[in-house]
Amino acid sequence: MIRPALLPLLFSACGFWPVSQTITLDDELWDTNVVSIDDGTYVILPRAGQLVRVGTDDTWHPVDLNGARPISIRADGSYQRVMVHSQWPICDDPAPNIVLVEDCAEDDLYWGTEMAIIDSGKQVAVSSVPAHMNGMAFTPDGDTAVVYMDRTAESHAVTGPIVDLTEIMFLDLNTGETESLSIGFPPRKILFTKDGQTSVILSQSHVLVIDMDTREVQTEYPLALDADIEVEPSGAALSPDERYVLLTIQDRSDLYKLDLEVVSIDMEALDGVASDIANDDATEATVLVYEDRSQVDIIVEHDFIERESLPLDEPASEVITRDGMAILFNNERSDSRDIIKLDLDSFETTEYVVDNPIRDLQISPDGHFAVATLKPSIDTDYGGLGGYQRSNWGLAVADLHTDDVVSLVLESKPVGVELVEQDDNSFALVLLEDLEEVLQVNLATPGQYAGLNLPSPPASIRANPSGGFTIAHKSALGQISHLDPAEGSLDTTGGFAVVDFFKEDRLPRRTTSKPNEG
Amino acid sequence: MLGLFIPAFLFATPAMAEKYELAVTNGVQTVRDPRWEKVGAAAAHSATGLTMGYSVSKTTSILVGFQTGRTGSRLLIPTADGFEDEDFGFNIATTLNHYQLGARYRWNWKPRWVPTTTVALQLGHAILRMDENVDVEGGEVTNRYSATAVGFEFGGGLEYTAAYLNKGNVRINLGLETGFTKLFDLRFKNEDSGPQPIPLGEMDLSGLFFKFSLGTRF
Repeated sequence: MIRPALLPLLFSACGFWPVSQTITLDDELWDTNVVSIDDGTYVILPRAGQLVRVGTDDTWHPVDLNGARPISIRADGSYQRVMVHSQWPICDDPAPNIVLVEDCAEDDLYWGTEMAIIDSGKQVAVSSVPAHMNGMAFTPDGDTAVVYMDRTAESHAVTGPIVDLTEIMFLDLNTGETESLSIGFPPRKILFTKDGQTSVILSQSHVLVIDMDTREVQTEYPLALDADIEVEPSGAALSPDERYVLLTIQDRSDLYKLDLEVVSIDMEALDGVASDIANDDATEATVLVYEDRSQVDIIVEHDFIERESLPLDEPASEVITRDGMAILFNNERSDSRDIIKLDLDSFETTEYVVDNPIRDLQISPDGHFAVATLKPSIDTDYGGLGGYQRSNWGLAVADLHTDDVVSLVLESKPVGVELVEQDDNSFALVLLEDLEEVLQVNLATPGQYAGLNLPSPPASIRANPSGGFTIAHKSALGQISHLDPAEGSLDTTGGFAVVDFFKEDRLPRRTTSKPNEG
Repeated sequence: MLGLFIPAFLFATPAMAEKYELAVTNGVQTVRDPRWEKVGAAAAHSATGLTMGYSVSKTTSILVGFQTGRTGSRLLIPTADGFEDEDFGFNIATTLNHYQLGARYRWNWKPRWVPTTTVALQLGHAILRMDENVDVEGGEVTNRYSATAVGFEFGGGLEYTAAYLNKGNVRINLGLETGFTKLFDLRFKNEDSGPQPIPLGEMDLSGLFFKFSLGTRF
């Protein structure tokens, strides 16, 4: 007979142990800021320290970076290659029993950095580019990049016993070879002439002109005679004939004109502090707008700066030019709701008033429509249609031919808006937070839209060079869709973020080399 | 494997009393591999199984058996801004099956108390599932991988006969056993994403075990 005291053992022998716990990982499995180029979409897996290429045919594979971990990626100027800033741990202690990163004493551990150039899913070249050099400008032919430390963008830790923060590097994207040049001040912006022979490097109180063949400084323009005076360029444009560099200055109502042929600097007193400057190649005009002044200036003659000034209802912070037309808007002020079309031939302006403040604006590829995303102007809906509209995000479509404008109310914050042309029609592809649909808005009839179901909520959208779009989803295990707007098809690939999920954190390249020798 | 052994037990002629044995087991095994922490917060997993034996001598039985257990967790992943977002969480679970073939030696001590020593070869088969399990129909990403490894276990225990049935020809036993399981690394791979398998990493599920059983010998 079974004794009663043993019954609990009998019952427990038939059950499972509890299995549910919540565990928090220390890092994201994947970064939804993906890069799409011709051969696929590249994704950083921060936790695994891997770079994965996701193809359009539901395949994916890790890219071999020789043990290095990607920290940032970007496409080159022609969207044919991916530039990967990466780092790898180095342990100074050569003891053979040190295999994992955690085995290495903290004092012996440091990180090497490099930039890998990836083509068709393979590393084709590698260069010793320090991780803090986070800015990059590409020559028009796309074969050379000028790499520098961009202090306005997120930068990675500066490493090494001696670092020159004013150094720039010329990086040959075909071979990975680099050439350094110390320019004595940190660059802010880099412009190239159309033939790529000359680059203009702007910085605080200095402008350098560099010959891209010899990679030597041709001319240096001091923007202030007194070294104690700081002159900070806020905007720059090359004149249409590329003879002059026009500079607007932060907090100053000055326009600097640098003559690249006859080395000289002219200063033009503006009517206020300029907020943006842009060239229009079709009319060879330069357009200037002001931070706090309801005015737009058009420079029609660059040799002696002949300006035409037009009044506006509101100041504009941004200007976009396209084929003889400039679009002006303000995304700095919450009380500004105007989009201005300026005809650069006739100097006529057309005002479009939208219902909410503007966050950003794009012009359709054919120049027919301006599409703006609108921010809520109030936090709370106080009732009525006006309150509903003002408390929600929006999308404004301005028909630049008929001068009609429509302000649509969006259900949630836009994740991304991309414009596409198809069969003589222009569409906006709109992704909204937590909405599992991509909305295709016909810009000719903005109230009408078609929805294409998404497998899960979107996180970002990127235009591909092939004409399609890549949508990254809010998905822990990694999910990307490739949208072909012509076919209306959506191909989704998921699960790629699990690469090396259980991998041990091993020390790669077990050598005792110093950083940047890699 | 079991399919081969069960008919052999059914049709064999017993040459002595208590020729056969059958037991339901339940146990817990420690896991020392730190990578296990992504699957379960506790450094252990549990399993339930079935063991069958056939006596080849007065003291020794050949054993076949299996154990199966499931461990799982909800993993939350911090987003770029450091917050834990349920949208970036997923469920992870492993089902670990151990198949074993071995021998058990019974020491002669007391009629109701029998010390045992067991040695067995093992075949471990693990199924790993990762499932976002979001509410959207068809929207979730579900991954499933499997891995196989061989190993062995040895242990010692004690059987207690709680009851005799059928004029003493059938024993009802309660047993306790502890020991060590060595299973070589389970290597999980993704086979479906391209021509080359892509590794997810490996896990060592070796460790001490403790299990108890309810069974019969007849």
